[in-house]
Amino acid sequence: MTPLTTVRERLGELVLVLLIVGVVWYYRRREAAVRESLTLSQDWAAGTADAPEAATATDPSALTRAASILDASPGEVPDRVAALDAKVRDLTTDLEKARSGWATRWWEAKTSDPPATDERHVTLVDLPAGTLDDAEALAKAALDDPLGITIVTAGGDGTLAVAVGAEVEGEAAGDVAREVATAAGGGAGGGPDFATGGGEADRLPDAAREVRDRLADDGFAT
Amino acid sequence: MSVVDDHPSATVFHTWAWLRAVDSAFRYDPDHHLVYETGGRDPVGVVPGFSIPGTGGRTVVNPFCEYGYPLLAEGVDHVPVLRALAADLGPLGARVLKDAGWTDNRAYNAAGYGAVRTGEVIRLDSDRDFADVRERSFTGETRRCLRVSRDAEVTVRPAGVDEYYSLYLATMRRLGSPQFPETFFRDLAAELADDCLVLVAEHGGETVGGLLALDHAGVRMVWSNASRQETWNLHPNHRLYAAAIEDACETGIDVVDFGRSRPGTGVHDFKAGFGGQRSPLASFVAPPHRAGRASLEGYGKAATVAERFSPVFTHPAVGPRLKRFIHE
Repeated sequence: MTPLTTVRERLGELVLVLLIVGVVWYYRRREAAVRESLTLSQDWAAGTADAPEAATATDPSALTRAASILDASPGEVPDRVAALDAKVRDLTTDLEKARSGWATRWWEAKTSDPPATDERHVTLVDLPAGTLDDAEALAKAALDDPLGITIVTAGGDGTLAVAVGAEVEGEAAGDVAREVATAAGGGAGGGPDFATGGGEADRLPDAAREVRDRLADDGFAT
Repeated sequence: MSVVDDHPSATVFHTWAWLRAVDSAFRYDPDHHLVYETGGRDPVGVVPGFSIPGTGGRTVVNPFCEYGYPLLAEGVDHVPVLRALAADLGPLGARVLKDAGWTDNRAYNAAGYGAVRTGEVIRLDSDRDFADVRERSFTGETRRCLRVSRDAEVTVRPAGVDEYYSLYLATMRRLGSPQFPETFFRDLAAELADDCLVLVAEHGGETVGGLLALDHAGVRMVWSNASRQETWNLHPNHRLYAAAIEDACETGIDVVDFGRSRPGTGVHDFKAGFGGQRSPLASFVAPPHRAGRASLEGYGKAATVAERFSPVFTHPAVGPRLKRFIHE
């Protein structure tokens, strides 16, 4: 057997091995693709495909995908995750406070007189630890009250939101919000139905009460 | 085509106007199907599609859009139709049907199709006053951006596709993404006439952004959006989306569809800021082991490299030809 023949035989064996590895690799990938795609179409058929996409531990691009979601480079991911974790803890604490506040206010609402629903009326809501998002959410819900003016003050960030019902004439949310905010050393803006603004957090509840009294003088029930 | 006109889930991407525009600009082999009941004379369904060449084989798909699912009349069994569509694809062929959670089409698995998640779509109910949409659906951050844009005197006006195309091209060059040929935009505008809405945003006498939307059967599809990066602090895209929504509210459009985006990205967050209902998007593929043909992950990975080769990928002689093979 010449050296050339030996080299040829070795090369032939190498090609054969590479071929076998390639075929095995192809079929393993194919099987994985079939399994993954059929699982998703099965979830779709069952109506359970709405869950957010998740990276799995076996996904080699998980770090890259996580970095993309966090809008960071892969090297920044640990710090960003730590920051997120801290934020989640803070939010959990806030949630506990909110739950406690909600329970207190629910009980107060249950044991107090209901607002007049057949005449123009004004309602004040003060959220001592609330933020603009809380005030906006509450005021938006109050838009369903056609005869009501609702003023929500949020002490957490010194903001307020005002909703004016569709059947209230002569009062615009933007004007009411400005009146409250100006009295609290701030400013506001918005349309006839809904407005937001801000001022000094400590002065907002009193300013809101002053505006409520002015509206009461104009014939609004309180 | 009455099947499309009468079907509640029909989209602009099922219409002849869309299919003719794609056909005219790209010269793919049309592979649309009409569905008949045995012995019946009138079609009870339609399936849009083009046979598109690729490195692994031909793929039959409705390209460049979010929706390409079969439209079947009420009472027609989806499974045999889907199975028939998966037959005769050839040894390397694949059929891709793009669908969304809001359509309630659920028969793909029973017909043997695999699936790939391609993102999410957000659809906003615009059958109400714009003031109500703005106050109840837009987030506080979106309203703030709109105030900044308005205070900076960014204005929006209707325009033609020629004016929009230069903005679109600049955006594609920034991203390094192959562009549609200009003739495609012109064909779309000619086919859809008043149902093709083009808006541009201006600041200081210069055009800083644009939006192209396609209307069909009470649904406005925001199909393309472009803006100059150096003016993003003025939020021209917020102004454009708000203007398209306001126009929809005033002209009897029931739904504004913001198109596909990937959750967790800035584009998706931007769209979510206008409110609306989120719905998953998926491409269903037969045979299932070719599901990778519908995956968009490869495009995402290529994006950073593509930016570096932008002058090549978006060259007028190269970009439109490349786009022919990138049917997403």
